[in-house]
Amino acid sequence: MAKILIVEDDLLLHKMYRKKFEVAGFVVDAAYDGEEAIGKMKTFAPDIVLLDVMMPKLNGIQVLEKAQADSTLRHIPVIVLTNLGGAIDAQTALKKGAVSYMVKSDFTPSEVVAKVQEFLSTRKVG
Amino acid sequence: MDNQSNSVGNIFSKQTAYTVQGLLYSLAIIMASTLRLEDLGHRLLRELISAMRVVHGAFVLIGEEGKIYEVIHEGYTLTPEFDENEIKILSNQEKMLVFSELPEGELKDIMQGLDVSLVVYLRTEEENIGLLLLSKKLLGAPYKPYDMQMLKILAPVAAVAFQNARSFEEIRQFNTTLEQKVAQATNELKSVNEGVYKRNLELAKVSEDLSRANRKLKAFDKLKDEFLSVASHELRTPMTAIKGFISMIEEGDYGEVGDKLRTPLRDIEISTDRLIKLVNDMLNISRIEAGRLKFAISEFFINDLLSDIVSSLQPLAKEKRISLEISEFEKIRVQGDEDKVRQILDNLIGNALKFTDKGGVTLSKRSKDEEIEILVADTGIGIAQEDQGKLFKKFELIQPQDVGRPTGSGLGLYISREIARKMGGDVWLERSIKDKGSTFVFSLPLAKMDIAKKVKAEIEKEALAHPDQKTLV
Repeated sequence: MAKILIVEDDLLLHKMYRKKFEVAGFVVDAAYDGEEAIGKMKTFAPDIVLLDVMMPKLNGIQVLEKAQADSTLRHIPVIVLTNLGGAIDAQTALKKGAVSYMVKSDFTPSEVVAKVQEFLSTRKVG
Repeated sequence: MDNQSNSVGNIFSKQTAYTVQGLLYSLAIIMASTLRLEDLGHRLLRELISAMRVVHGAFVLIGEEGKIYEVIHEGYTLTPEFDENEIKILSNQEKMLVFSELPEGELKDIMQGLDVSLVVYLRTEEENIGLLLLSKKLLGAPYKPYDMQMLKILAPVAAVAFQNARSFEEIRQFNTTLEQKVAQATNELKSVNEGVYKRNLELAKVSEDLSRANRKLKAFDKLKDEFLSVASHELRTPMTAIKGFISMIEEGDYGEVGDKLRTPLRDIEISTDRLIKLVNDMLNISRIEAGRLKFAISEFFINDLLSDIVSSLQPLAKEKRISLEISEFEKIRVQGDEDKVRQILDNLIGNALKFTDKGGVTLSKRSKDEEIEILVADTGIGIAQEDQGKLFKKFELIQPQDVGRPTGSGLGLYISREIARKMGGDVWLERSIKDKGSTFVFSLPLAKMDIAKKVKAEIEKEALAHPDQKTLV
């Protein structure tokens, strides 16, 4: 069972992604802001993180920076999932260590799940 | 005649007598100590009148062209008036005029009219300074030879004194004029300065107004950015939720969905997608028009991108039972923002599929020196001649004849063209025949060519001009 940490401050979206990932067989934990995300990355030790950008306390980019600076968190793959969608942001996220970047409104939850599964399977193979 | 006899000869009063030397001496002191013309005249006259016991006297000073320059008089009960012509006539004489010695005639008449007994000429070597006019003596006493002698000695000296005084006066006046002129100039300068100062104040005010307006604009721009950001995030978040939950309902995550619900759910899904696209388009337009659309220019193979897009749109073509194919496309490296090129091709191919019910959509190329032209040809409904001009305008939706065809935002082609042009390419309608189909063309610079280099340099320059602008949306 793969463990996923969903970092999302919007309650409805949170509920939606949690439901979809649970249906898909993931073990899900949740964080509602950047600080909580860092904490959960340590305690929950997820296989992968879905990270929002616009969030209270620490934003997604700051979370990436903190995670990259922490040797115990650096290895956890992070997919940035946001509704801020510009080339610059995607590049910033990737530069800061995200493995992928998705615009929420462009994908249905099942497409997001598929992307995560695809990433985890290639990673296992690799 | 000696001085003594003169004195003795004065029968009226010892007090009235004067010695020629004594009078000349006191007159000389006056002349040496008085610089101002008027003072000189008055003091000389008073001295003369009192010493010679004359009723009244006047200096008529003559200026250029014989004009009366100044009249200084003493002893007159009324201010004397002198006729310029009469004075000219008098001045034209050679010698001192003595009324009692003159024959009847013009000169005598003039002197009588002026109530003058003696006319003494004041001359320097160079010029005629004027006249000394003396009336008769008190109690009708006659002028004596020593009076004449004294006046003959006085006349040239007084002339020089008056000349000096006049020069002094001129210098003084010149000085005054100069002072006035300096003062005037100073005032003018001052007023110029004040004008400059005032204008500077005005300029400062204008400048301040401008910078205030600028600040307002910047604040407004920031507000717009914030609005765009909010619009982007806050609008897309609930739309994402709607879209997501509907898809999950359709996928059976909340239990089995009855057949009756499939169609309305699909309609909601389509509407939500349209809404998301509309918001994205509007945001794109705002960014394009604000010059804030960022381009990540790179080189890539357009054929790979086309294959990718075609395979992603193939399900839609299959659903409509039309073909979607690429014809003759070898590896071609182009320059542009790959995401934006994809956006344009998605738009053009999406439109073609949307308006085609029979036949299909074919993608082909046309090579130019420095560009590649991608042709998107369909066998669809075509665009009426009168509608073709509206195609690339904002919000110009051409109403298709057949009802029920999905409509767009009317922004797609406008955005595609704007973005293409920013990348050094273009989008246009090549041809369209009603009910036969349309061909749209998208041109893009080939990698490494001059056009490509120029475009890249321009985009980099623009990015440098707005380094602090973050793309938030």
